[in-house]
Amino acid sequence: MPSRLAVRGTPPLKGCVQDSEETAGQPRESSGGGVCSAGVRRRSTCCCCARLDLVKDAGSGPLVLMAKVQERQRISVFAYVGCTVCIAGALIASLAMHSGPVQVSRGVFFTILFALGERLSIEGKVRGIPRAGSRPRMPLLSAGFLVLMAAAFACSPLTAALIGLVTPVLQRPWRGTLRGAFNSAQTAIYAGAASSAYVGVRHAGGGGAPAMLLSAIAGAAVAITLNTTLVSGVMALERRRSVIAVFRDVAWLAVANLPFSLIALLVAILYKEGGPAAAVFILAPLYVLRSARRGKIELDAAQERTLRAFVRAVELKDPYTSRHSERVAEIAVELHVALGARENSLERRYYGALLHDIGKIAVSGRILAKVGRLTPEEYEVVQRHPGTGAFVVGGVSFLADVVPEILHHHERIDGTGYPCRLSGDAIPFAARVLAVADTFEALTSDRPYRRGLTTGMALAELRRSAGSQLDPEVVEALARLLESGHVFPLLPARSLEKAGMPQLEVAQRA
Amino acid sequence: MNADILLGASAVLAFGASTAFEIELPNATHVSPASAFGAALAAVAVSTNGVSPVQLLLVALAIQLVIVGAIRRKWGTSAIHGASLAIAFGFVLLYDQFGSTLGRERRVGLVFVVIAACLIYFAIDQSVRTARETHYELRLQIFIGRARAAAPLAVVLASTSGLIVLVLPLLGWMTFVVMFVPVLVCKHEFARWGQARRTYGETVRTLADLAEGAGYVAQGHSSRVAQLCVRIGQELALPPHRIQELELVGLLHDVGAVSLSDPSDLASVSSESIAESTGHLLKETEYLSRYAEIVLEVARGGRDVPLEGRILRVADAFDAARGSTVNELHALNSFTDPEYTPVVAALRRVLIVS
Repeated sequence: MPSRLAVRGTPPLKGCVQDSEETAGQPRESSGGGVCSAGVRRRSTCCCCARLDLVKDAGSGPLVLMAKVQERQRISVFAYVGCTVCIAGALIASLAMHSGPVQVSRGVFFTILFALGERLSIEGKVRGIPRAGSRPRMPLLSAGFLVLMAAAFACSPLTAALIGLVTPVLQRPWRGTLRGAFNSAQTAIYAGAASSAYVGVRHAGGGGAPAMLLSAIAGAAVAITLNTTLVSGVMALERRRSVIAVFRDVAWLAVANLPFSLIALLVAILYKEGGPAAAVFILAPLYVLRSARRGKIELDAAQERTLRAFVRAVELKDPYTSRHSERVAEIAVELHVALGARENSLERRYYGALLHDIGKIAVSGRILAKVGRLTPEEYEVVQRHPGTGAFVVGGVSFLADVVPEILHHHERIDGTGYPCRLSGDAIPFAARVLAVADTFEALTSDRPYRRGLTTGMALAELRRSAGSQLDPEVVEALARLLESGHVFPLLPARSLEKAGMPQLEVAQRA
Repeated sequence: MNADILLGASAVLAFGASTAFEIELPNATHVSPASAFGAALAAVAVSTNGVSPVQLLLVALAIQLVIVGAIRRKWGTSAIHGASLAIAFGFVLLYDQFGSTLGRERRVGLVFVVIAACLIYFAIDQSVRTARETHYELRLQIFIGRARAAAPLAVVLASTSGLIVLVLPLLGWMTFVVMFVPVLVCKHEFARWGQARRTYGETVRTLADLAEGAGYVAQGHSSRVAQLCVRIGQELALPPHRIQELELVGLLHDVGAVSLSDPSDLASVSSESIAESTGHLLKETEYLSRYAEIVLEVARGGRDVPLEGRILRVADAFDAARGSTVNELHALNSFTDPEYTPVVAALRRVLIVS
C-alpha cells in the first residue's frame, strides 16, 4: 500500500470495535417490526420523492408549488389554498369594479409571450441527479417572471391579474387541481398587486424616466415579496417547518429576480411604443442565457455522476458494500433536512456522505471483504481510510468544507473512535449525522455473514448505541423520520412478511 | 443642450464600463460586450445636436485606452477596440450622411445600421484575436470555430445595441443603466458555466491522481497522456470542446483499475478488462459516455477507431514507452496504418516544439 495517501498520526486502537458495520450486535427481536410499518406499508402509494422538489427550478420562473401534497397535511394545505383563492377572487373583483374594461389584445399577447418564454426557460430535470444535487443554487434567469412583470407594467392591474390567473395553466406538466388552483391564485395576486404598485408609484412620481424605473422596481419588489411569502406559507405547512425557516431558504432565490424587473420594463415600453414585434426582441438574449444555464446544469450533473461512478467503481472492491455510499448519502441528506439544515448546505452534505469511504481505495479489497477478525495490522490499515479520504477530498476546492465530516465519521461520542478520539460535541455535527446514516445503512444491508436487519430492528440497534457510539439527538431524528412514514427509496425493500420472519443467523463479526 | 451632454456622457461611460470585462465562452473564447455599447455610442453621436461625433469618439477612445490599456494592461486589445470603434462610428456616420432623406423611417433604419455596426465591431474583434493564435496555417479553422461559438452572443449583443437605439428617445440617459443589466446577467451566467467546467476538470484530475496515488495507475501516466492528447488535438485543429473532452478522457482512460481488489492484481488482468471497467465508468458519467466505446475499442486493438481513439492510443503507447528514446521511436513507428499517419505526425511536431 503506498503510504503517500495515508495520513499518519492515527494511533492503532487495539481491541475496540471501530467500524460502524461491526456494531451490528444482536438485534432485539421484540423491539423491531412495528416502528416502521407505516413506512413500509406506504411504500407503493406515497410520493416521497417529490417532497424536496417543492420549489421548481426557481431559475426558470416564479416560485410555484410543484410537489404532490402528502396525505396527512392535506387539510391544512386545503384551507391555505382556499384562503389564497378567496383573496385572489376578492382582488380581481375589486380591481374589476375600480378600473376599466379588460385589455384583451394585451392579455392575449402577454399570455402567448409567457408560453414562449416558459418554453425557452424550462430546464426540465436533468436525469439522474439526486435531489440534493438538483436544487438550484443561483437562479438568475427567469423568463416567466420577466414576462409577468412586463405584463404588469404594460397592462392595467385587472388585466395583469387575469393574465396571472391564466398563465399557470400553461405551465407544463399540469400537476393536479390543488396545485393548479394555488398557483393560479397566487400568480394572480402578485401580478395584480405588482401592476397596482407600478401604477401607484408612477402617479406619485409624476412620470419621467426616473419615476418609471423606480415604479418598476417597486412593482417587482411587491411581486417578489408576495410570491415568496405565499409559497413559503404553503411549503411550511406541507413540510411542517416554520414559515421563517422556509422563507429564509427561498427568499434569496426570489430576490435574484429583481434585476429582471428592469428588463421587464423594457419589454413593456417596447410593447407600448413599438408594438408586439419589438417586444419579442427580448427573447433572443433569453435564449442565449438559457444555453449557458443548460451547460452549467449539465456539467453539475456530470460532476455528480462522475463522482458517483468513481465511488461505485471503488466499492466493487468489496461487492457487499456496493451502492453503500449512495444509500448513506440519501439517508444523511434526509437527516439533515429533518434536523433543520439550510437548503443550500445540502448539496455539500450529499457529497460528504457520498465520498465518506473514498479513502478505502487505499485499503486492499482482501481486508475490506474479509470475513472474520482483522489482525491489528489490518485494523491499522482500515483506520487510515477517513484520513485518506479527507486528504483526497481536500484537493477539490468546492469540496473543501466536507473534509471534517469525512475525517471524523468514525469518531464515537464516548471518545473511543478514530482517527482523533474526539468525543461529544467536539465531533463535527455533520460527522455525527454521517455516522448515524452510515451505521443505519450498514445494519439494514446484507453482509456475507448475516442478513440485513429490518429498519425497525436497525433503529432499535441504533438506540442501543446512542450515547456511546452515536449522537442520541441524531438517532432520535432518524427515528422520527422513520415513524412519520418516510421511506428511503434506495434501501432494500423489506416487506412486512420479511420483517415478521425470524432473523436468520445474525452473527456478530467475530 | 444639457440633456445632450448627459446622454453623451452616459453613453461614453457605458462603453467604457463594457470594455472593462469580457464574457467567457465555453471554447476558451472571450467576447467583449463593448461592441454593443460602441455601436450604440455611434448612434447617440448622430442623434444629438449638442455634442459633435468627433468629440464623442475622442473621449470614448481615451476612456477605453485608460481602462483596457492602463488598468487591464492589454494594449493590443485596446488598439483593437479603438480601431473597431472608429470603424463603427464611420459606418453610422455614413448612414447619417446619406440616409437623412428617409425622414420618419430614419430611426428604424438607424436600428439596422447600428446592429450592422455592432456585428462589424464584433467580427474585427474576433478576427484579431484569432490572428494572435500561434497556429498560422490553421487560422481559418480557428476563426470559424470561434465564430460559431460566439454567434449566439453576437446576436444578443447586436440586438442589445438595436434595443438601445429604440429605447433612447423614451428613457434618455437611463437607457444605458437599464441596458447594462442584461449584459451583466449574461456575463454572470457564462462565468458560472466556465466555473463549472473548471470544477469538473479539477474533480476529474483529483480522481486520476487518486487512482495513481493508490497504485492502480503508473505515477503521472494519466496526466501525461492527457497533456499529449491535448497537444496532438491542438495540432490537428480539433474544435476546443473536443480537446477539452479528450483531456478528461485521457485523465480517466485507465481509472477503471480501481475496481481491482488490490493494485497487485494488475499483473493478472488484461488491459481489456480494465478498459471495460473504465468504459463502464465513463458511461455512467453520461457527459463522457461517447468515449466509453472508444476506450474499449482502443484496448481491443480494433481497426475502426474514431480520431479521438487514435489520438488516445498513440499518446498512451508513447507514454508507456517513456524513458528510453529507442522505445519511444519504436512506439511511434509501430503505427503503420495510414489512418494513424496524421496523428503520429502531429505528435512528432509536438515533440519537436517542446
